[in-house]
Amino acid sequence: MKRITDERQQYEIYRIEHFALWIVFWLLVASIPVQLLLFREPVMMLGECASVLIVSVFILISFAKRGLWGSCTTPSLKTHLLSGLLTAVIGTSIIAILVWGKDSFLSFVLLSFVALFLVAFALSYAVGMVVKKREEALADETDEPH
Amino acid sequence: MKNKQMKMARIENDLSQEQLAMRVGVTRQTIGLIEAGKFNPSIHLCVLICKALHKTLDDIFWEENIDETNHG
Repeated sequence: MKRITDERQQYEIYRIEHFALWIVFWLLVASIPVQLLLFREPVMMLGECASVLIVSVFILISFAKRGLWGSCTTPSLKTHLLSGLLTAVIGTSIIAILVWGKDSFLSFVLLSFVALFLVAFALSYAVGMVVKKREEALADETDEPH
Repeated sequence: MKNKQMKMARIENDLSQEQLAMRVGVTRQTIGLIEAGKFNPSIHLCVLICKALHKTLDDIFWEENIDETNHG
């Protein structure tokens, strides 16, 4: 189908879609703990979790392939620590809702926090290394021969 | 920043915004926004506009502020 919009209209369409899809993404993420609190049935959220996971993996792979990390940050110890911390806090909050009132609640939550932090930190570090290498490789591709 | 050079060049060529828009393949609104300084066209579109107005890129899209800064 032939495009009938000019570059400015297309740019505005991209901006609208960009905001709309990010709103949908974060509403999906927010709906997971809300539904957990209301229904306490993790199975009911499989659809939302799968959707968030698929989109997140897609974004991660697409960014890494193009040697991109983010608009305002670069892969560094600070960003890896922040990624780990953010994931641990969000993940542990969800787990805390699931195990609320059960035996060894505190130790389970602490263990989850540490485990999530370590996994997220390691993943962030690994992706950061891939992004840096990919960025260099892409720059080399367009470099003039010496 | 408004693009007065583009507007003047368009008037010199006796073209309305609509006519210029048709020549370069964009909407009248896009031409208006470029002249008002509210949209930055791609280099491809800049070249098409220059060709339609028989001007160079410097004539229409060179920013005067940058020029004044570089020359003190």
